[in-house]
Amino acid sequence: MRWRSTEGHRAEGRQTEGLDTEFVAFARRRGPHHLRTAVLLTGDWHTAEDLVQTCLAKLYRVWHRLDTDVDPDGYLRRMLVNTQRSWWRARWRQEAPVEVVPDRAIEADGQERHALADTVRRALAALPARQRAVLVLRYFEDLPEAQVADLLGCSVGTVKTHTSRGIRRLRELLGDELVPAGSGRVNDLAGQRRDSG
Amino acid sequence: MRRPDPTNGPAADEATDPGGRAIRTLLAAASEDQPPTTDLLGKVRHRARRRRTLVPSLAAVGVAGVLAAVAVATSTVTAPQPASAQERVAAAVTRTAEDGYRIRAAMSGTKGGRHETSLTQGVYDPAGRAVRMVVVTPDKGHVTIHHLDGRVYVQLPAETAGRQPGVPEGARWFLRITRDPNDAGVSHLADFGRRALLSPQEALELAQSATDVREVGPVSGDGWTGTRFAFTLTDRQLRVTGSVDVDGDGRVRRLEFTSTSTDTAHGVAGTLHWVLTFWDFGIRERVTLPPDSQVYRDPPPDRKELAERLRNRHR
Repeated sequence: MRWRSTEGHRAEGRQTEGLDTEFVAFARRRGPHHLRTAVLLTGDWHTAEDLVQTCLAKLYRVWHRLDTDVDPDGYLRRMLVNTQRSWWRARWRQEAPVEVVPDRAIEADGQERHALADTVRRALAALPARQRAVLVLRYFEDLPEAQVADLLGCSVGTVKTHTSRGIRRLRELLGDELVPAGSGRVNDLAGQRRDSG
Repeated sequence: MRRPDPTNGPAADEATDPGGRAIRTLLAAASEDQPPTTDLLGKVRHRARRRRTLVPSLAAVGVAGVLAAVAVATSTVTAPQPASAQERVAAAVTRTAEDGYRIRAAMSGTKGGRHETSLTQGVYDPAGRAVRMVVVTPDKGHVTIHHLDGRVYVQLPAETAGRQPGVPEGARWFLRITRDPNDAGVSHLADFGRRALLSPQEALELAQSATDVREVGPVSGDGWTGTRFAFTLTDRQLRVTGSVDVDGDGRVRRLEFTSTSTDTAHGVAGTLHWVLTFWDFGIRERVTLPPDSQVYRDPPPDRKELAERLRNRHR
């Protein structure tokens, strides 16, 4: 990250609801996507919302000190990963979310969507934090392995290993129907090479 | 032909790893049940507000130093500025969570076209921020609920315990519902009443997040006097208006609200009126987890069925 130098910083100017207009626009545009990433990392919407809110508040504190060529999206993503990791380490949120039998009044499609999402999130939550983060960043955020490695502070080889093991574990948890054999094929091979090496 | 480098991004990855698509689809599906109402800027606003009030306060420190010197010199005392209505309600919510208390909640109104009433009484245990409640409904009798660690345990009625299909004989408690109905796509506020029951603190904290809290005036109850504050919370489909009574010790004594929902899609449209009363502050009653051997959990959904749904969804 680069801090504001003599030029190129975000101008402090118009405000919306008492907040910087540009920041509010960014949060509204990208917030929902990051919330989805967060729910995959944390396992439940409640914590995910808390995580995104916390990171947006951190981002807002430094918003005017960021150079304009710094991608706030990437910066926020890094904060999400790091903050979630620190929460996980602190273990103050170690409880896996316990679901939820939806209200009977909820429409059928909502129940179906929820059941599916919930099942996958539970499986993700059962993975070690690193494996989960790698899968989310690699396959939900669609980041290249090198960028995932940079975000998590590890090597590309480690990312491959986590990917391979994570997918294998997901398949064990969810079955071949949901995670067909062959998913993450290249990474499987990479992981196996590494495992055997 | 040059072999795509999987370290170079998703496009290259798709070429070498077609199976990765299954994981992508799965992860997308796992985040599709996003709640309709979330306020991602809540903490930003909160901190910005604090900053706006803190900065002038800090600036005032220097001035205060001068004033203090003057005050000492002239032997006068300046009364502190009263906190805002919102700050006073927020302080009361925090204060109320410090001690145990008893709570009674009365609800009546119409939801999803049905008339509903219930009376609930219980106890709050500050040690685990846990609640034990007994809900009395006209048609279902008494239901005991324990809410702790974000989980809700419903005691099975004695006449049906162990006799329901699929429920183990020894089951006496059913682990169910949600601290967060948003998971099922229902408005955060729509469940304000149930939150009030399961976790009065959560309801109070939600009330404290209202932006238009205002002081109404003095109020009194059985053995206490205090101040009434009015608040309003709204989202796209729901409006909650109500009042919070704070006693002279800075604790919440009464929370009254009316929630009006237009959410017909989830069958929760209607108007419900709630009155929550808090008393017996300082009581010590532990609320604990039911024995695990007595807790019945819904079996996980059938995986094959889910896989089929996933295929249909993304076909």
